[in-house]
Amino acid sequence: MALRKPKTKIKPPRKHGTDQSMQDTWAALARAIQEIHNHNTSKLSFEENFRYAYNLVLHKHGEMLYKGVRDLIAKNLDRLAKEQIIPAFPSGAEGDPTLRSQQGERLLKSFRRVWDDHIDSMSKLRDLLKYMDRSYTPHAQVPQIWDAGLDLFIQHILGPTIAEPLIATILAQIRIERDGYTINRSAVKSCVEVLLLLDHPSIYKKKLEPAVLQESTSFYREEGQKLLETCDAPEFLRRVSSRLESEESRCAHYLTPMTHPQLRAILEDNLITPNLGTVLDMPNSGLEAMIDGEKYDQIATLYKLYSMVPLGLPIIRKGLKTSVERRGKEVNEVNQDEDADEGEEGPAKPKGKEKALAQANAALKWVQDVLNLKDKFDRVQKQSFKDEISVQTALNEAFESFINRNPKAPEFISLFVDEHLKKGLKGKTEDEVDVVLDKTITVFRFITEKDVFERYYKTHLAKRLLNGRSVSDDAERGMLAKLKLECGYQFTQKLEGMFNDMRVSADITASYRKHIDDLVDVDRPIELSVTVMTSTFWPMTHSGSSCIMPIRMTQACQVFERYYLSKHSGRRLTWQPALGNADVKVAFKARTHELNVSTFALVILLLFEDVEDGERLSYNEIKDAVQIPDPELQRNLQSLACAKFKILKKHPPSRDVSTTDAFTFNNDFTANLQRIKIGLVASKTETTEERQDTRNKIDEERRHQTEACIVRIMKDRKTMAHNELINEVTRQLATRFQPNPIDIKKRIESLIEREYLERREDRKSYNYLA
Amino acid sequence: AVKFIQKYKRVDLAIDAFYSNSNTQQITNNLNAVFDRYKEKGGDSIGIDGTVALCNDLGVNPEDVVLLAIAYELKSPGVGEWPRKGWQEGWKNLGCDGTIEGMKTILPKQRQKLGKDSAYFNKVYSYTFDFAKSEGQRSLGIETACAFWALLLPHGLEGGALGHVTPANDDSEDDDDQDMENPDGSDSGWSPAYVDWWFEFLNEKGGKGISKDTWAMLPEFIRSIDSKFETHDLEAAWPSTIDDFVEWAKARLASGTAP
Repeated sequence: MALRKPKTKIKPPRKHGTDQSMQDTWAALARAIQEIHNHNTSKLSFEENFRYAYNLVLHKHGEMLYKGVRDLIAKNLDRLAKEQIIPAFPSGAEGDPTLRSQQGERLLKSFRRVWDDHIDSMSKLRDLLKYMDRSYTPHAQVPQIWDAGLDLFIQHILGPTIAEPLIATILAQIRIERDGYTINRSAVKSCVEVLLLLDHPSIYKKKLEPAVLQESTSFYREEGQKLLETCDAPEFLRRVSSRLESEESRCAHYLTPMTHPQLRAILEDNLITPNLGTVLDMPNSGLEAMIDGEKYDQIATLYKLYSMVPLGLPIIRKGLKTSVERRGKEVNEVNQDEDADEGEEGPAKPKGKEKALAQANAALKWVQDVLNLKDKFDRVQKQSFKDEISVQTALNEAFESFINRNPKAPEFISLFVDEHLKKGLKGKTEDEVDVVLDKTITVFRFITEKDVFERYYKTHLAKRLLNGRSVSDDAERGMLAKLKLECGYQFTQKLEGMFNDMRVSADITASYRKHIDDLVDVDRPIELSVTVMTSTFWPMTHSGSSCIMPIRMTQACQVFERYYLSKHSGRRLTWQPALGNADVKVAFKARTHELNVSTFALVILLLFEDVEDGERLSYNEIKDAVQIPDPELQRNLQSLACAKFKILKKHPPSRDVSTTDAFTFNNDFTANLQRIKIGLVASKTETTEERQDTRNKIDEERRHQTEACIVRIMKDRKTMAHNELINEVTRQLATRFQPNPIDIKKRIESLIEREYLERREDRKSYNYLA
Repeated sequence: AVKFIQKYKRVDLAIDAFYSNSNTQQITNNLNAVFDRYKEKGGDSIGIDGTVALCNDLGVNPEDVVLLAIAYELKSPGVGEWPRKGWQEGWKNLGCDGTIEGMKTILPKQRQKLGKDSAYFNKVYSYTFDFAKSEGQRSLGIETACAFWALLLPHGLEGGALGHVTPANDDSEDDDDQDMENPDGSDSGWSPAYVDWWFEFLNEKGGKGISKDTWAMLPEFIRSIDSKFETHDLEAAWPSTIDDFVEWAKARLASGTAP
């Protein structure tokens, strides 16, 4: 040294060690780390080792330290792998699942043990090397020792040698569990946890999850096939449900909830979606069988599963629709069978009560069947589908479709209501009837041809009212209110008018009787009860069948007519004897009976008043005398001569009346009852001819309504395009019937011709002409 | 002449007006002379007999389609009725000098125009409905309608006034060169034989008669329909008679009775 300044000698920092000493320090530290790895920490001094590490970093030997520690960790991990994990590999033998499960469990447990071991050491090392982490690692831009430890774990433990058997083991565990055996869920969970923790994205996400999903896909593809082959529909559904549940619990318990959506998708894609139709249509156990057996919970399961996948609900809806339509078709067909012979007999004459009754019964049965069907599906809908709206729509469509496929539906429904509003019902309380009627309304709702129903209802109502057979005014009005609610004020206007007429008529009859009583005239006319019907309200034609009445009856009519017109001048009365009935006392040989007969029958009977006992009147003589039209005359003669009470004798005797027959008064008639009602033989459902007639009337009415509707719309809009107009008319008329676009078009043309409308220049739209 | 000069202020205009006026006067005189020759006794109109005589002198068949165009121009209110006013104005508008000879030269021109010019065809066509129907009637008897269609439709089809218009093209499209317009392989449209089908159909169907609406829509239909009736839209605003015809014709096509 050239310059010696002993006094001011700055002591260089005491070299704690040269390279040599640093090596020693490291060697000491390395030993300590090995001890840590060997779990012999009790002998170690934390302070001392910390200082070693500190010094090494301080003297710029951070790199050596870092690398050295890493090597040691790596070595330790390799050792652990060799000592603990590899021996635990399952033998891979086939065999008892429990055994295989236990073997797998051993691997899983040892893996976890190694992990725990590693983490334990690492946390100690982290504390020891805190100074290194603080000053060296950031500077050298290497991961902190803890993270380095994790990386090393991935490299040395989760390399292919171990990771593959490990994942295979986990998959095997899942498989074993899926096959119905118990496994140690927590062992799997402890491994999965590690995999979830490591790396980003996690090893789980990178390696395990794809494997699980792939495995599940193939498992469930097979499973779907197997279930389909071995199970009936309810069992299939039950199994699938439990699969869904178990997969959910699997994810929750030892995989991760993140995987659940994917797993579920696999289940849906493999178990549910491909089998939707097959399961639904399974013979003897599919939807049809469930509906038949009223297995609401099964249907509910079906619904629950099917609504998971987008294709499911439409298939259910379609299935339900087919089911309803098939059942509906059956109902229609059964009914047609019973009704079939009508057509063959051509212009139907009433063929006796049995047939009329059979027809009427067919009508009632049809409605009852429809109601039952509706009830059934209402229950299904409510209990299994939780009133799902789209299902309801499908059901409604199906009902509408098959109900309207029966052209007689409106008539039948009206008959059904008639049956329930008529007097003398078989043991049904008013409330019960009300319930039935409410249901009938729900069926009525499906009818597209409401105007046809209205026509029949009017006819039936008229018969009830005129024959006094209505069960009660309240019940009738109740039904009207229901119809009003359904179809609006216009629909029931005329029906209400009929009621009103009945009430007013009762008043008039009463006041007329009083008027007669007040007459000083000795020659009292026969007692008369009159119903004055406003012609536009009632379904009868103005020119109903008439007859030549005996003078006494004519007189009575005239007296009433004078009285009525004196009260209401300017009105015109037309007598409708076809609708009336009469009480008449008839003296037979044995005793006198009081008969209630139709007005026509009375007129016929009165003919026999003037003839000798036993003298015959031929059909034509009777016809000439009374001038009743043939069908009516035959009907009345039939009920007098061929029914239960034979007031007249027919020659030759047979069931049907022909124009060559002759009749005598049956003086030997006996009966137990004093009062006898001679019912008219009447077919309740319409004959083919009558039906055609009704149809024509309805078509006529529809033409008017369509025109009125077009004019109403055009008056409002002034100008409208063709299709728009058609749509609007269809919409407005839909409450009454389903108009055919071609018919609307014809009405438009007719209106153009009559200059209510004109075609515009563009030829596709119309102007309203005021 | 002085009056004209005063009225028009400028000499050239005045001269034109003067000569055209005197010319007009001459034509009117000529027309009146011809008119009086054929007019009915006691009336101021040419009647059926006069019409037949006139046709003879003009050298045309009284059932020539061109007479419909002339009737339209002369505002004839019905078959065999020619009032003087329409007579005078109509011929003048057609640029006729008022003589029989002049009229003879007009006729072929009008005949051709009627066949070619679809706008003009439309006018004459729709006029024909009122011309043909009897007073107070709303529709045309099928027989009468067919008779007039038999005049008009083939003529229009031949000349191109009823030529097929592909729906993509607009109606304003030049209708004259229909024959050449088939570059995109477009449909040949209404076949002339369909006119007979139409008559057959109407006679088969019977019914009250042809409404004005149906009458008016037919040319449109003929122009727009394809040869197989496939593009017809039953939902569109076509009169139902035409809808029915399409069904009828399709059935006939299907049964193999080729047009």
